[in-house]
Amino acid sequence: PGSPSGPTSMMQSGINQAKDTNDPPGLHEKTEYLLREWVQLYHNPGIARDYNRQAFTQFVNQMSQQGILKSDELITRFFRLCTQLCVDVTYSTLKNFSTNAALVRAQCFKTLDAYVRLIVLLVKLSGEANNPATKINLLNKVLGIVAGVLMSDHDSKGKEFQQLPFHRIFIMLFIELNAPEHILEAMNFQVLTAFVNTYRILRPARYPGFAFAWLELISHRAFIGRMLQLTAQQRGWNMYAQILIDLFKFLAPFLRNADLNRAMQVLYKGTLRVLLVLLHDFPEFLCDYHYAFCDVIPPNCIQMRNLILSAFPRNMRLPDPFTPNLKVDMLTEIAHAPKIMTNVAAMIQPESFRKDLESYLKSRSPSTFLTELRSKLQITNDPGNRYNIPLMNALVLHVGTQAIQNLQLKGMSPNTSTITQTSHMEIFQNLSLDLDTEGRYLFLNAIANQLRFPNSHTHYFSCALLSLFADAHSVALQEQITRVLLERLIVNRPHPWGLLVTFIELIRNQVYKFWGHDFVHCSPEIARLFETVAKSCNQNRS
Amino acid sequence: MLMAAYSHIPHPSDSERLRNYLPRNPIHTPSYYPQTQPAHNDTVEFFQRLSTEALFFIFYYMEGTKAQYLAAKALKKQSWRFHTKYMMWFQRHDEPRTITDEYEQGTYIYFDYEKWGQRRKEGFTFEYRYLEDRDLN
Repeated sequence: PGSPSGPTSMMQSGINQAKDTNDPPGLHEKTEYLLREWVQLYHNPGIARDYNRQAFTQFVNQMSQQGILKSDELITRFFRLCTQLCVDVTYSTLKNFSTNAALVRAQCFKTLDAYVRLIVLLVKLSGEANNPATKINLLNKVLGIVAGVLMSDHDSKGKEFQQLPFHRIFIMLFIELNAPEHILEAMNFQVLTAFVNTYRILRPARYPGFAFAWLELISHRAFIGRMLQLTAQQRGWNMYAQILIDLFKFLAPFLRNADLNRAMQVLYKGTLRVLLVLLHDFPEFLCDYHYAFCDVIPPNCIQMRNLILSAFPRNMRLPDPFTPNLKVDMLTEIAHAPKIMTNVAAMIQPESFRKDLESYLKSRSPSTFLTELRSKLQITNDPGNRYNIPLMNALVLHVGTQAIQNLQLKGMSPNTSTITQTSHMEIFQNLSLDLDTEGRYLFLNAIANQLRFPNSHTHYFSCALLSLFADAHSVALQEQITRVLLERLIVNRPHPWGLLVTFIELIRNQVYKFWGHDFVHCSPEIARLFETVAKSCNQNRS
Repeated sequence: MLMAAYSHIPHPSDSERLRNYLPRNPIHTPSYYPQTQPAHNDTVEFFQRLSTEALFFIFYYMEGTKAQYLAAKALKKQSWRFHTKYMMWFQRHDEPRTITDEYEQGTYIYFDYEKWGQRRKEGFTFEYRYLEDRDLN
């Protein structure tokens, strides 16, 4: 796909050509005439009923008589002019009729749907029947043209920009190209790739005026179904994860500052709904990509992250975290590592830092490694933005997985005593001591992000967090650990299993002397909060 | 830009096939009216509990939807047969007087979608080549 003549370049050339309005004289009129003819043909009940081939062949003949099919360039211009005409029709219809919203839309759809059908038929019939390459190239070209028209329309119209025509063209085109027909099914993966590329180019961070339609497009049941379920071997999963990351990245700056106007609130609510659908129908997808998602979701978005971290494989039965004397180390699942679809080690940059880290993990040298650790993670002096969060997350997970491997090599399983006295735990202890409040918060969050369904990571990081609490030199650290756990539990459900198990262990097990700490009783509100949480833990005991 | 986009946010009909007769028209209804449809209303069992007139309405006014398909299925179960030339549903009123390989002849009840009501026709010849007999499963 990356080759100079491949689909991606077809899309790019479509985008570029959408800006070229230097048409040969008369082409505009010809196109307008043809499109009007076609819209009539499409809505003629006698002809369009079963999408009569003959009527279409006749229309193609007409196109060729008008000289449209002479060259690729003219075909491209024809598509661009058609798209522009459809967009113009939508704008003028929306402007002229303000009475009945449903009627106005039906009026717009008449032209837009006809145009979509024309695209589908031309794509299906281009090239030889069993050669999908030509069809795919044409599709990419057309998608590129529609995207290109959207871009200039978005940037020139500003606040007057309408999502409707583009939204309609994309969704109807997608539905039609996913019809159960052999010729379409044979090229389905390339069709999906073409749409994913288009949607990624039109991501909301770049085209905010299209954000609502974009969210509708990527959460449409037909699209999710194709991406996550109907495409074999989960070949659509990575592409869909990239689209969600585009969405999270767009939301991140607004969510981080809790700066939500009405429009943002609606987008946020829509995002939560998509995540709920995914949690219910495709929990394994959220499990596999949890790391990449948590990397881009701001630390203060607790519920959004909980939705992702609560996902667990459907064939797994989770023991009730409130069971008294629950022996987590007896569960068979905790020996197995969860799938992580991100190359975490490669995220530790620069190269020299990664090498130093590996050597420190092996030999606990050079000793300067620990003292320099903080400076590697801190990037600015700007409060709230001091740290490289992706690097922190990668460091924590990588050190943890190395620790688990080491223990397994020695035939030991992780528990609060076996994990101590290692280079790995030394790094964690150093981070919890040496970082300032902000850094420590991010560090503890990176650990808490691993407290999920029963698996080796959940178990290791649960032990690590409890041991940091037990061996803490300062009350401030213990308070912060409590805060990170508690703030993830006081939000509405769902709550990740590993998070509950860790918190219950902390408040129940006498070794942690949890109730003896001042911060538990510092204010009546906090004291009441703890009572409520403790009560809910104890109530479930019976 | 986002606020501007919010002022013309997508309409539910934007990502649906065009509904010619029953376009979506969302309005706010008081909360003591049902806000959601009853559960399992997309099953044949549910459609079989509807009156035949309701099924005809769905068949003619909700073209190309799952509801139309389910209505056709329910009608077939109630021994209605679709005549592809007249585009109307027929039901035997009594045993046909003649049955050959090509047609049957007798008295039928049919639903006239133009006058919107059931009519009786005596001595009607139902040619089998106009019988819609696809298996709906």
